[in-house]
Amino acid sequence: MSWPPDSAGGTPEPPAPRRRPHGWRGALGAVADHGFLIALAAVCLLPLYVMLIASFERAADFDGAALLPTLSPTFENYRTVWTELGFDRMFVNSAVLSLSAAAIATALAAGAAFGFTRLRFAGRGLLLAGVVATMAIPAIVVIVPLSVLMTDLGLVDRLPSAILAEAGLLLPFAIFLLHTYMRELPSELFEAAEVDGASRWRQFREIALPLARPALATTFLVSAIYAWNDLLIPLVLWQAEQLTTLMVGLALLGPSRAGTQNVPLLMAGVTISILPLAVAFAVARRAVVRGLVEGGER
Amino acid sequence: MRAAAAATARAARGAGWLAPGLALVGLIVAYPLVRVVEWSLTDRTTFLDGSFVGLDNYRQLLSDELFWRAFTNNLILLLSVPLSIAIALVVTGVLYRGLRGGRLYELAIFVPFLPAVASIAVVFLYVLSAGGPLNELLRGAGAGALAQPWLTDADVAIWSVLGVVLWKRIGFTVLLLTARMASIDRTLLDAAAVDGAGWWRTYWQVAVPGMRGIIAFAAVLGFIEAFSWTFAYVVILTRGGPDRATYTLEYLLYRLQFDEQLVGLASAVAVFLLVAALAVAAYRVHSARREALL
Repeated sequence: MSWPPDSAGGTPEPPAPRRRPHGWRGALGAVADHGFLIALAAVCLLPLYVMLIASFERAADFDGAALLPTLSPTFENYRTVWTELGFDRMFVNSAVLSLSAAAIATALAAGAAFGFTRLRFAGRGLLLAGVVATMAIPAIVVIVPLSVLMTDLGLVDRLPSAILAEAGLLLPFAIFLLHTYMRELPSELFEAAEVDGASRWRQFREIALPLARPALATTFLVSAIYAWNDLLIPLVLWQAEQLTTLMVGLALLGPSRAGTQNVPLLMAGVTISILPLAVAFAVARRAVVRGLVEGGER
Repeated sequence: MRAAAAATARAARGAGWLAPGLALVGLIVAYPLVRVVEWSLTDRTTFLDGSFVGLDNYRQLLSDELFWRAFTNNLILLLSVPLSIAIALVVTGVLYRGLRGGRLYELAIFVPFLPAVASIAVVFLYVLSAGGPLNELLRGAGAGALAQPWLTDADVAIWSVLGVVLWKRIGFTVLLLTARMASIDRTLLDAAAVDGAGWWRTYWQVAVPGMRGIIAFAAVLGFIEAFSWTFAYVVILTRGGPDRATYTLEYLLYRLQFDEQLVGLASAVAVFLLVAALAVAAYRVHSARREALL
């Protein structure tokens, strides 16, 4: 398979309409096709639809389930979770974790990918294979020693612990993504610069980085999404209340507050946790989809 | 002598570019990997370094009914892989059979993949609650007999979790398959159609074999997810309950480590998960080699 697929914009070019059998059989087939896809799309969207409409319900009126939008929507739930349940602070914590882990992973990966593509040295193939293999190691496998390590370093409940852990776990993926892009850059450019006496550092800064900008953006964006969405690392390494992220907050609040009256509040909180992703997706759909496809679910 | 010195110098220059990144991976992934294997052979706890106990932890796990229940639950969640691939194959076939609005459908089906597992799990905590939207819908549709306590019945709960995992996975699998489908030569499909073969036969015989590689990729990613990323689903949807019926290996590891402080035993569970991860690692290295990416 060719990778990453160029058409992965979430939406490949719409297939040219095929000639269907004419007459009632063709019409029936089209109805069946649409019926099937509408049913599936409904199943995919309904949970998010009920989430949204519940988030605008008045908590006092809520009786356990809302299938239709309320006639008297309120923003009160959003105000309450934001100001009283601490979602403002959680939002900031999630943003700090997500953006700094993504920045560190992207910066270190850019250097490493440049090293892997532009330099020939002993053990290069083996190291690169090691990087690819490490992509498959999930956080849960290393979480036990990692939490002990961070405790020993005195970093638990301090900013660097979760940020460094998240960045380290994202790095193999980031290196691989940037490597597959940088290796396609025309080597003549670098050779010409070499002849002109440009140092490696200048070649990196003035040729590799500008040309790899789209790949750098994808890597940063997708790393940020993964770190934003992660639960395990901040749950274990940022246990202090002032470091709670949105996902940790939801995991702690959700099961304990799932009582009927609290559903509108919780759904407002979940909506807040999804909102930045929806924005990122709307702004940079192709980059998001391509990166997520390469990284898989985590 | 000279060549060796030059090689060392080249290696050193390479190291300068790679060192910061590889050092961080070493600290966060490689070092803990070594440690987790080492600790799995000890009776270490959070408070005591413990001593070497050989394979005792593994023996204890293998004779523990909860371990096997957790393992079985991972296997049940693994069903999301063949199920999502089967559904995605049908969806892709329908999309490419030629109908209007294909992009919109695809977008709608992709949406569940974007939010965090934690966000989705809290939504389903509400959707699947006893008086929640799903049961209301069933009652409204006259299928009230099907309404049930989806997450609090020990016989049903793990299947509900499977439903949520599957719900989140389908869009991703459809995306992989349609991306591949877009690069399959349409003239092949058309030629088969001219021969009078029906669409589904053409699709099955011409297009699906061309998607074999991407299906394998989807299966491998799904495999590692079913054995590595079920923690967030379980900790929010059921907390392993009711009556520990929905434990998975990841959740068991978490409870052993952070509630019971049994570091050695938790490490042994991690090693089981590591074996699954290594199988995936081998596949990824193999396929990267095949595509000459290494």
